Amino acid sequence: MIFTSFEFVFFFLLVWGIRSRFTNFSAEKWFLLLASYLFYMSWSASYVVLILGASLMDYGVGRLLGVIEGPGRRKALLAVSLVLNLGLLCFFKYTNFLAANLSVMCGVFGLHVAPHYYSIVLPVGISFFTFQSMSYTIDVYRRKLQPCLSMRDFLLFVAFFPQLESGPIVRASYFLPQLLQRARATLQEIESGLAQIALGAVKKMVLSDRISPHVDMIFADPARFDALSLLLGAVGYAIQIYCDFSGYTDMAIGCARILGFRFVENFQMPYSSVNITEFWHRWHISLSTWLRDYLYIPLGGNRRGTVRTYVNLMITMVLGGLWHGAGWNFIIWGGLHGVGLVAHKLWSSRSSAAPPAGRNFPAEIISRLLTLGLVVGGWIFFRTRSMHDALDFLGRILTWNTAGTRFFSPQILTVAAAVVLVHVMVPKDYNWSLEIPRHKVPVRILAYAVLTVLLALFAVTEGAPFIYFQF
Amino acid sequence: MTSRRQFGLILASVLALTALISHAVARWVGMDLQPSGRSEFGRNFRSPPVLIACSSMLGAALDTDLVAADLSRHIEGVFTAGASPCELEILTRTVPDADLTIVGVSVYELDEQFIAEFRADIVPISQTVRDLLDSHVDWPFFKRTMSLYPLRYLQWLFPTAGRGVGIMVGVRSKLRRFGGVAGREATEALPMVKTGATISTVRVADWPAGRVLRQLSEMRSECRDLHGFNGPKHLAFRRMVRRLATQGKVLIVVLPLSPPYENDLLKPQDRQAFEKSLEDIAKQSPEAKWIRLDRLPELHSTEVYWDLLHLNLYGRRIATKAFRAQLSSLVRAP
Repeated sequence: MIFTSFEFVFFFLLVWGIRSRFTNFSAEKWFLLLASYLFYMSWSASYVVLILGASLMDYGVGRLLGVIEGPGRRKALLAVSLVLNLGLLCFFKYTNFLAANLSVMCGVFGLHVAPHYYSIVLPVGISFFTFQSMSYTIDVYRRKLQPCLSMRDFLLFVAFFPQLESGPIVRASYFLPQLLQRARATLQEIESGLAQIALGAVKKMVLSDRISPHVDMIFADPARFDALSLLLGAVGYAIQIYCDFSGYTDMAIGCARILGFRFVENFQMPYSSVNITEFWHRWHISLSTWLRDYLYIPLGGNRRGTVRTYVNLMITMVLGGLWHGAGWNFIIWGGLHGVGLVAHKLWSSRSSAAPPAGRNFPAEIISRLLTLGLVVGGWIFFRTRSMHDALDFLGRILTWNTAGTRFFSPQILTVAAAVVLVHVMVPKDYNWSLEIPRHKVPVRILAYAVLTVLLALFAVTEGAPFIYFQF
Repeated sequence: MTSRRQFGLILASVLALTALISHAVARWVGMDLQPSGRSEFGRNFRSPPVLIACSSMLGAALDTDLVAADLSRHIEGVFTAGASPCELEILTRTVPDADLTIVGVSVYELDEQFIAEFRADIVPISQTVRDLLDSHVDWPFFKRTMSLYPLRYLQWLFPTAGRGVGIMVGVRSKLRRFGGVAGREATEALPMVKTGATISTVRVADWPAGRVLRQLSEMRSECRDLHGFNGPKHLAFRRMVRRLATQGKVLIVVLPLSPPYENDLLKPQDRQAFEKSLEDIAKQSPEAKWIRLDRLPELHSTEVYWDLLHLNLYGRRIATKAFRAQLSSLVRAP
């Protein structure tokens, strides 16, 4: 059940309608939990046991951490939670990757072990709900969060349907307090939620889905195309993944807001970033902050000297890449961003001694272009099927190979121009769906009508599932 | 104004404005919103009529006036965009007195993954559900097909909803006309099954390679790079041919598709599955006659298509000639 389907529209209206009839908050939360599990079962009925089991285990660990004081036993309990969560993730996501690489490693040492492919279906949203659940046990272990006493509330925190499939990764400290007090969305919040859903739908159905057939064609057989077409494909994918993922997030946040819940923002104009560090403050914010708080800082962050800071950055980004998928291309993608972050830190530390007076436009433009170049180049590794394809793809662009078919896509160019225009015109931290409802009625009507007209005219109604569902 | 009233006003205004613009754009680009159409040929000849049931593909392939003259019969055509047997089964019921029915099919039209735009307008929901259940389709396909029904209601309010490609083609065509480009594209106004349409002399052979790839990528996305010939369309085809055979003679014309479509979009196993589905129809209705235009070598060239599906004027001449050559013997046969 994807957000852009009629199936979800009916489901959501039903949940919203029934939920508003409840007078008892406890019954209402049970109902939302049931709805969330039904939503998950629309993808895979059997894997609901998995999410239930993982949640119950972390709930139990959390309760025990609340009563056990001994540091050794607390550490052991945390280890149980981490091993089980990461174990689940590893089993479902990385088994075949590990088996294939083990086979290659054995070959290096002269041992012939035939690679075995295990038929394992990846449960939808596993990367998201395991990270969400782990953050809870870690926070309870660090005594930053009181253990959740209500099993129902904890299960709902993990499985709440708007964020179940692809985030945003909501922290327990942010969401669980919202389950303590009943909150009904005000009309302004409903309006803002609807606006955010409409904005997300435009990003997904009008922009991302419109260009995805062309991008897919270029990435399916890069050797067929000339450098210009490949560059267009790479830029197209950068736009596609942004519109797809941020569109999903907008719809998730909008749905939650209509139901009276708040989620953290996940994207803030990432392609307008001046440098790669800023990019990671604006792209998939819930993941980057998760990695910062639960990986980079525990590794030592920037507290253990310059070299160790750089090593920590690299480890964080490589593991962040691996979180997206089991493949060397994701590791390289993460590594590239890691190198970019290290380079930026190095550059900043050297130039910070004499900060320029005022704004240096040429330097800013060069910096923006370099950032975009790194990001778009990184997406090539992220999107291609193999390292060979990625290197071939990149090599053809860098050597400006003119042999091959010229694939001109007016759709990609139009959508790219629209996204660039929005990134240039709209202030970086402008939150459209929260700001518009504060304007006068005619302005709001006009703003919303622009979105609905775009949907009515250009939406792809039979679009592909969201890209991040595969992670 | 209370906030509740204000909210209602905004919602109603946005919906009204969107509906207004959607209707205006549909009209401006000349979007055909009629689910199906009828046309007549050889009106001077006497009844009972010959029925032609098809999509625009057979319309482009046959010069129906010549066919009417050959048969010395009045021809009634029923058509809908991308017509498959699901829709044709319903449409052919509207001409119950026809004693000869010519049905046009192709790999494209029988492919279960390409769902006709107006299926929900033509095929009752109960029939669709029954066929989906009887053919044991998977859940995503079931949902995909069923989603056409709510979309249909949405299209009453917003006629352009879900028709983005049509809008873009329409707008492009308007802009080209505005820029004087349209005149350079050769077309010839000849009668098609779809009245008022024109036959193009444009050749896919003259297209830049990128344009072919672009169209292929859009078709691949539409069918999710999947092909199937054993679902609701096949069930409807079986039923329709069986019924038409009790009503009179049935002539099934298998239409060719452009080489890029055949070579890039279909795999050999898809072709085999298609042939198998035709064999099944032939086996269960042996009285039906077949004309295999898809086996004419002359039609396996990009010179004779004006897009990936439709024959151009040159292809139409070849197809009509081949069709007429076989027609009289097949119609006279018992």
